[in-house]
Amino acid sequence: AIRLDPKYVKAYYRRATCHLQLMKYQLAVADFKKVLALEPHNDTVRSQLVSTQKLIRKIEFEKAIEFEGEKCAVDRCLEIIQEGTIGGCEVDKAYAGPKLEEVDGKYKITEEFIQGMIEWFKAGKTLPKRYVWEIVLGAHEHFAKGESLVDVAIPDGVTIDVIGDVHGQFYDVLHLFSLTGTPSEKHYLLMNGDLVDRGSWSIEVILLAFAYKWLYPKYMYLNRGNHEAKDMNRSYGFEGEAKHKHGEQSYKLFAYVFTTMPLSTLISATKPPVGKEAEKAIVSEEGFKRYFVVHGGLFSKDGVTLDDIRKVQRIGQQPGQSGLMCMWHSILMLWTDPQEKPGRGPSKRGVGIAFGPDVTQRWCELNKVSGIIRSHEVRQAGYQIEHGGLCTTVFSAPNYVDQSGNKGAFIRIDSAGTREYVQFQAVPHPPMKPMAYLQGGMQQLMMA
Amino acid sequence: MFPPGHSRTLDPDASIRATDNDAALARLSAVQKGYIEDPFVKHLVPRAHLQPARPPLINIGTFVRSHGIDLLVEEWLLMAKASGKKAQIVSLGAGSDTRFWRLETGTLKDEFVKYIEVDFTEITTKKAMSIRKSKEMNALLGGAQVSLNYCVLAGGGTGLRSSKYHLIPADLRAPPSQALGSTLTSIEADEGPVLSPSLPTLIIFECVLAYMSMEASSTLLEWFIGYASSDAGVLGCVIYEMFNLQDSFGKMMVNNLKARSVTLPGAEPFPTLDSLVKRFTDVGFSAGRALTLKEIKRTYVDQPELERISKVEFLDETEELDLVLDHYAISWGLYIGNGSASTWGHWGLKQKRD
Repeated sequence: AIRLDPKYVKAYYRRATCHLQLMKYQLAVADFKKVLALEPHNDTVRSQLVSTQKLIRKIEFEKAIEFEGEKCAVDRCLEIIQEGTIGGCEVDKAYAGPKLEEVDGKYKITEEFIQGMIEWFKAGKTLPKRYVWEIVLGAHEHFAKGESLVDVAIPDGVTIDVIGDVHGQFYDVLHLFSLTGTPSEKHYLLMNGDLVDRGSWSIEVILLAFAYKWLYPKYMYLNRGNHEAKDMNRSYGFEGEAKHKHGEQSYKLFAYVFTTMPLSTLISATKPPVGKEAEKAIVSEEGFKRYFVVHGGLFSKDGVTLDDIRKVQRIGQQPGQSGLMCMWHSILMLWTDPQEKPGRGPSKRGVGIAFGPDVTQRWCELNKVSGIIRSHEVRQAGYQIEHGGLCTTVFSAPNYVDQSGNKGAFIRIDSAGTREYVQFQAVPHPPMKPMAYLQGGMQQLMMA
Repeated sequence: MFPPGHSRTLDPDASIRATDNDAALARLSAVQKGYIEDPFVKHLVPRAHLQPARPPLINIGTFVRSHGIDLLVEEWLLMAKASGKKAQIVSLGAGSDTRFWRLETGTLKDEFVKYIEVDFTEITTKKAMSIRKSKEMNALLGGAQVSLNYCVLAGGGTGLRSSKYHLIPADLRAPPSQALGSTLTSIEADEGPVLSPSLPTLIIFECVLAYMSMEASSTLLEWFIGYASSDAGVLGCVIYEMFNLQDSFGKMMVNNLKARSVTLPGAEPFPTLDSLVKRFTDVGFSAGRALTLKEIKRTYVDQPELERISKVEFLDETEELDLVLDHYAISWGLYIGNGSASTWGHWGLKQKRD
């Protein structure tokens, strides 16, 4: 009947009632609104509209409580988005910042949007919640497809830059990207974890990284760090910042998606090593150099293979939850540190272990890996080559937490596996102290 | 409703008293996570079960500070026992401290005859009420002997007195000879002065002198030495607080506190451990020692304890922990009058490893 006469009010009303019977409340609301558009003074319908909207909110709330902590945040966010205008997550009409293109009802990310987003962030503004979710979901799609060890081969003419901890230092990240260049067909970026916490622009940093992952999944790579985890985020600022800027559900989304991030990346050269690098190098079966990039380091026992790592079940797991041996691997990979003494020793951090040069040597030989690249510790020069060249630490947060006075660095690797080290200094940033969003702020570091 | 034109002067000491709240919450957090055992602190913190935990770094700092002071107190009580005398303990600026109750439920409860706590009236009033409300804490006030009025609410409800435990309201900055001193020297019916000058006495300042002027704290320390020397007593003193504030970390702490209206006139003059020792000898102590919390954690805590606490939470960076712990120190001084046993000179923290 509506098709015949779009103004046939009774038909809308009857359809609305049917929807109610079928508990399709959102559709009922849509039809009630149509009735009111045609008959704005119909108080009966208006009050039915209001009570249906109340019912929707009640159901939402109950769902939220019931599934607290159990329902995958990705599913929940998708649900909320599907729900459309009521209780959904639409972009506010008043939003004046960079816009994501819509193609066939889905959002699409572009280089132009990312540039606009960077300027928007520099002006101290935030994206609408919907965009945050879209960006995180966009990156998540690629993380979820991959294993816990991601393989990246470097074709001829291409380089990859390995970047260490950046810890929410957005202005330093922008400076860093001006030195590395943004991800492209000719050169890839790999960020080795700890993008968030401590620095007070963690949201800006993680959204920039995730946006690039969404846009260029084959040029932008990310490893999870020990700070991409709930326990750390609670104490070191990201939880406070995320909730403040984008609300509770957004924080949950981040927390879940962090668990889907790869734990490690294997960078493989595609042609034989040249020059000095060729001497004594441990190479793959094909004769190429390859580097194992992980945030923390190696394991509590010998014999762990690349395949073991690929198969680690990481999705939805928080480090610290009891479980399988592979959970233990995943904790270790994000937490361990190299030590000078041979063998393994207790970790200064209390969790995990410290591993000596012989451990690194045995592991690299077993897996035919030319060396490991890790981050996790500040280095005054931005990087440090340890364990006779088999273990290198790279740290990319210069003047860490506005105090350490250190340089940052990144490692550029080409298709022959040759490494180049580039250092850089901190740049000025707007006057916001580190950990500004931690409840109580830096005062928390005081004992009375 | 206040009449128009009424002006409310803010109490400048409120911000100092608020630091006890910080300390209590930090202690509660360390207890709830399992670093420290203390079944009593929750009675002194309103809505204890709702308080958020502190970061791991603070929990560890709280453990080290608490453990270090506990070790010194235990050592004092053991040495008193060995010397055949009963000890006394005076905790100044005690706030929400629970040491009395922990000692009363421990193995050393018979080694001391007096435990005296002193703080601002606002704090002692609150504490007295909380103690009275808690069956466990109230029951432990009894003391070694059962007596008829073993628990009298003193000073109009602002303090508490039993035969063994005294909670005394006082402003520590006021000249002791006038205020606190007269309370401590006053004679209790049949029992002699509240504080005896002849028994080995340990005075504790757990993050207290930092908030007072140097003049006021020196006067206070000198009074105690004077009192002990009047009857060949032995006096030990434990001070815990922040120091070494002239570097960038220290300046940041000072600024953060200024923003909360708290100044540190008693901590800023101490840039080094030596200066903390000199504070003792300057006012008349026979000897003194000082250690940073960092050093205490590194070499003065038992290995099994260290291992235990390192597993409680994931601590992200030890550099940050070391930085914080390097800015807090426990120092202790000893005064022995003429003729007192020199064995007291062995009192102090014991090194457990190199």
